[in-house]
Amino acid sequence: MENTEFLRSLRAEVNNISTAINPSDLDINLEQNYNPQLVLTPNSIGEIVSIVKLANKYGVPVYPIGSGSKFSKGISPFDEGVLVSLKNLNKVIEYRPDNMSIEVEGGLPINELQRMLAKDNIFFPIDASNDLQTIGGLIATNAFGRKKYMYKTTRFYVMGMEFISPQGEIIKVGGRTIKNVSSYDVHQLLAGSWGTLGIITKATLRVKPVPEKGIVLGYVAKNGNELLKVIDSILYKEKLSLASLTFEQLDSGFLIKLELEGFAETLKLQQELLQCKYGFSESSYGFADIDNAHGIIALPLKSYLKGLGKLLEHNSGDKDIKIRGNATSGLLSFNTNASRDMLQNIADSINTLQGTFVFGNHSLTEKNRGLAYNHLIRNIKNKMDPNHILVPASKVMRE
Amino acid sequence: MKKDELLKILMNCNRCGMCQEVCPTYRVSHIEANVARGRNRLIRLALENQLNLDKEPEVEKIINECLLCKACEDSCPSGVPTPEIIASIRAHYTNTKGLPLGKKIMYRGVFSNNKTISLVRNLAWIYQKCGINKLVKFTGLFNKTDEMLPNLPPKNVRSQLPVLLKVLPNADHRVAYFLGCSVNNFFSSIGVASIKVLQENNCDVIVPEVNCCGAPHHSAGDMEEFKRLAKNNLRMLNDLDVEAIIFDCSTCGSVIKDYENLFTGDEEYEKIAAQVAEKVQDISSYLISIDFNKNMGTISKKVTYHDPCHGIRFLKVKDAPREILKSIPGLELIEMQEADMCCGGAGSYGIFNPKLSRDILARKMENFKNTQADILATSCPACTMQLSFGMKIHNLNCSVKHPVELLVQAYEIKSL
Amino acid sequence: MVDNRLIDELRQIVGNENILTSKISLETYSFDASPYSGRPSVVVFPTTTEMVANIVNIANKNDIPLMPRGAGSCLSGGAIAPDGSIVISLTKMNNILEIDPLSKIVLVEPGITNKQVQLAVEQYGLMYAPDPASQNISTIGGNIAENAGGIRGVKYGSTKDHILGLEVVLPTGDVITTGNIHSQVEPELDLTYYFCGSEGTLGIVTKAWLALSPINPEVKTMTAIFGSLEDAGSCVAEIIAKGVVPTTMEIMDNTVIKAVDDYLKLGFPRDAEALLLLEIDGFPSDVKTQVNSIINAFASNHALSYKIAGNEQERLDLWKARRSVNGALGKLKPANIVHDIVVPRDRLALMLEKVAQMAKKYGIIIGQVAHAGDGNLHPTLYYDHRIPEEVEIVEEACDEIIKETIAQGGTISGEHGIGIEKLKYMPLAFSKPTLNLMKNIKDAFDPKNICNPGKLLPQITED
Repeated sequence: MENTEFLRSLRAEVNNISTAINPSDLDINLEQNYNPQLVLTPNSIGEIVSIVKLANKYGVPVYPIGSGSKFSKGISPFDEGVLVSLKNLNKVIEYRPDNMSIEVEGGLPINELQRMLAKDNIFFPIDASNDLQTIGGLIATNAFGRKKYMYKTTRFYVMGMEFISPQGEIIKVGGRTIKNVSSYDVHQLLAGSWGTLGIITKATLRVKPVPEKGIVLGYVAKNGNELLKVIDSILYKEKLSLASLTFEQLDSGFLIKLELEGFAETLKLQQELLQCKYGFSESSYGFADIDNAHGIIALPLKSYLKGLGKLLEHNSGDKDIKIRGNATSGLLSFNTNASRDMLQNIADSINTLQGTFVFGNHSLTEKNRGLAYNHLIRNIKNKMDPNHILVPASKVMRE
Repeated sequence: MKKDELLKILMNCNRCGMCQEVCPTYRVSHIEANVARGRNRLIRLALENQLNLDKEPEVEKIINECLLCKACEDSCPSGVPTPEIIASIRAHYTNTKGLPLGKKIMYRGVFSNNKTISLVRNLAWIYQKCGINKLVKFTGLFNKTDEMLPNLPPKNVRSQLPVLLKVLPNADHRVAYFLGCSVNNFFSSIGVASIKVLQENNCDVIVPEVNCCGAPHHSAGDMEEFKRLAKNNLRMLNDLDVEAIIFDCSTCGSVIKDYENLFTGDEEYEKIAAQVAEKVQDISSYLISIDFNKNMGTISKKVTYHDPCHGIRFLKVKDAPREILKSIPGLELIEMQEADMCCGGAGSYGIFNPKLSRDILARKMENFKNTQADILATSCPACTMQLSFGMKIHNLNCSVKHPVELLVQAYEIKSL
Repeated sequence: MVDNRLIDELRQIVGNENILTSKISLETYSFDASPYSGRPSVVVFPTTTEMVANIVNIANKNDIPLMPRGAGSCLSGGAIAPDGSIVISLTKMNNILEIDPLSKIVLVEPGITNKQVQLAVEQYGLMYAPDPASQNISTIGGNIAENAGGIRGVKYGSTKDHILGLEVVLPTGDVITTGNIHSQVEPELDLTYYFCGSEGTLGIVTKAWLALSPINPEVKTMTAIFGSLEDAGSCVAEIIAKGVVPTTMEIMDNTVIKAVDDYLKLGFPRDAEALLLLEIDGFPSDVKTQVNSIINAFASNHALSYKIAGNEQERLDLWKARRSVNGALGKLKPANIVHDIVVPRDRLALMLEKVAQMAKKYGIIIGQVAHAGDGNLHPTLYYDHRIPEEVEIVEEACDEIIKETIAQGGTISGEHGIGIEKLKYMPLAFSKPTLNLMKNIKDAFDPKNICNPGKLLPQITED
């Protein structure tokens, strides 16, 4: 491979740096067309610093990776560069249950974090779709879970961060307190930057006590109209400790699931109300899969019901479409073999409703924020990464 | 106030900015020169010799644009008495430069002398009655001032006293009624109502020959004339065999209650002023205190109350007028947003600061409109004049009344 | 240099009634709520985004610094006009553009005050959660610039937790929109949260989409008195650990209690060492459960007494006291410095004690108020600025407070911002590479460094 210079210098600096040729050697499944020339699994921050500094010197692209579950979402296919896995940076640095904060390394998988916190009846409020997602990955993609309505997105739980800048410097920002206005919130720039502005090596997270109780209630709506009515009523006319409202298409209608979290007594009262008024009954913790779908639509709450209505219209009768959604997050998903034209039709409706429609991994409602915005993002990127080595194939940097 | 004293008080302002919320001139203009902390900053700089008060006409203008409404002082966590500070600076200007001609004529020339007020009033009435005012409107001269003049009644109150005042041999109470210039000359129906209401409640009423309370002179900084008028009034009001001195004008009431501060060092007048202050009572408060007669007819209307600055922040009268209104059968009292915000009248403020006055008035009328009330009630003729003017220029067909006017109306309905 | 030609250009943009140029009027824009002063060369009052963009263009073309300004209630000097700058006052750009009660979103212009937003959304049973002590006068634009916290911070967070998107005029004059009102399903770099807390140095916010919260039906306000600051601090930690999330928890020390009581005469106990003020909101059943937990925590932390507000008036009185603290304390000595430090909650009690010890050590008056729920402390040092010895002592004490804060793993500003006041502490809190990185990012936004220069980032010396 090329860049043997790079590799040789790297070995000279870091003796034990392990390399692999295939990502699958590390339990990472990359899609076709993603072809790194080298896969590295550094064991310390110092090693990552060396990698990045040398990458700058030799012009080698660097692609940090956690679990890889969102990799292809944010990055376009590439043929050049090194994949740097954070899997060995997975320790807990400082745990302060009395301060409701925990500092961890970027490669720690979320399921391990939750397991540890559970011992003190504490949890990290983002319910990741994939158990193996790393904290660094959750932050870089600003992940959110099914319960976004109650717990928002990952960035709101990041109090501080240590990351390696694209030029190989160790940067520490933020702190371990909820309130902090001392300097720019650089960690808020890194959150949701999809790896383009730095490699997240540590993060101080805000955690919460586990709610006293959580319940799931279910109800089957007979048809699309009833579905819309129930959602409208629950979301806008009732006062509930609602964490999520999801639904999925069945052969015989739509299964609606409500997830409530909070204090036991309050939940009891709400459960009674929902039972009597709507006919909801206790249900299981299995939910529709919104993420894995051909088409995903995101709508502002005010046009959600209209959007759902349109989707139902377009596809009345076609049960293979398997419409499902998370009304509280404003999301709709479906599978389809629909024609290009029909897809465009849907895209147009969604555009009018000011939403986003992603099909496959492509956006059909290309939302362009304009030259000035894209120019600014590029400027920021150029200042931080003058040699353009960190995730150059990013989908985030638009023209 | 002396310079040292002023500086000491000014240092208490730590620029927190809380005055921005309540200051009427700030709320309509959004600029720092129109709020307490901005005005105080300039005064402090002047007192620290970093700018010359006498050579900066803009500073003088800013000082004169304060309504002296006291809203800032009441909400200032450090209690900075901005109106007092402003008044001191105005006094300084008047001392060094004398009153501007317009104010000199109006205040010293007319207000200071009961006979002159009467004469001018009568002329003004003729002017309105015989239609010359329409000509003035036509030519556009003096339009602004003409607009603000209320419709003058044919007679002032004092001339009606022989008919109004009754002898009540078995009266429960004996009170003096302070007949202020505005009520006497511009809003005689208020004065007539006050006397009638008091008598209806078995009060023997005397109406001493007082002169102007001196409010306009004080606000212009003419301390010399203010003192002279005060002394006259005190001599007139002292030693009266009455249980209270009743005021239907919040401004007059608060000014006279405050006379004591004028005479620091003058033992004789300090004592008299204190004695008189003891007896000062707002008419609504007084009526409540004597458990006024609730036997009255019905007025089926919606009313809302505007708190005059001198009522709510100086005399601290808030509930009493509302109680009076609520006691009238059929009358529905609705609370207005920002009821205690100045109306922008502030005596003659409207003549010398027309834009600010009108902007503040517009905001008040908007708040009034939102209540959908038929009547706007208030306890100060200066406010009455400004609010009536507001009704006119905002095309609102509603009336402005003193609570006692509504009370006497209800009494009269009953006796029909 | 701002000359007559430039002033005329500005006048053309905003209109004659919306520009201030006289020496005296500029004097009234030379200060904010901090002890510093500045020298603007002109103040303009735009009312549309287009006007703002045009003004910024002029500043750009002529290399003139500019500063956006709201109510000017900043305590750290953020609203002090840089020398010769164009002050862009947003106070006349103060409309509510759209309220969407179903989605719980409101779109506002930056000059509207926080309180006005509260009043406007109240009728829908909604509130805008961030409620800084200055909320009656501070503007949304200012709140965003300082990521204003508030008394409700421990439960609801601060401004950034309630911003969905912004329209910003960049220092280059370009207008951009950031953020989303729907879930993000495609990768995108969101700058919204970088603008929050940027203290007006990255651009001028001209619109903001704010997230609203339902007003909770039940609210309970309680106070408890402790014989020591330490007991109060421990009580706070215990309450949170038990899973209770009060809307707010405030600690006031003896100096503060006395000063506020002098002003408001609410009958506070004069000898209490610490007063803990709490509020719980939520569904009635939620509140009941939590209040019981709290009462237990009071007992186990030696509270001398406690009280639950019996009616709305009592509740409002307790809150008025807290909101008047900044000004009421101004009566003790002519000058004061308010600190704004945050320590991890588990170090709160310790920090309160340490500051109290510093007061004894230096022989000065220090009043302490803390947003105990999130570890944010406001020790206020009182002194006479006319006495040089006192000034010196106070400066020393300040330095010690900051150093101790950092030693305890805390941060030097929780809500007031760095502004001018804390520039000198920045190198203590951040490494050179970090400061350089921040400077580089700032350069990307503002290549000419005209947007509120001299704030937040210290001059970085080359080594």
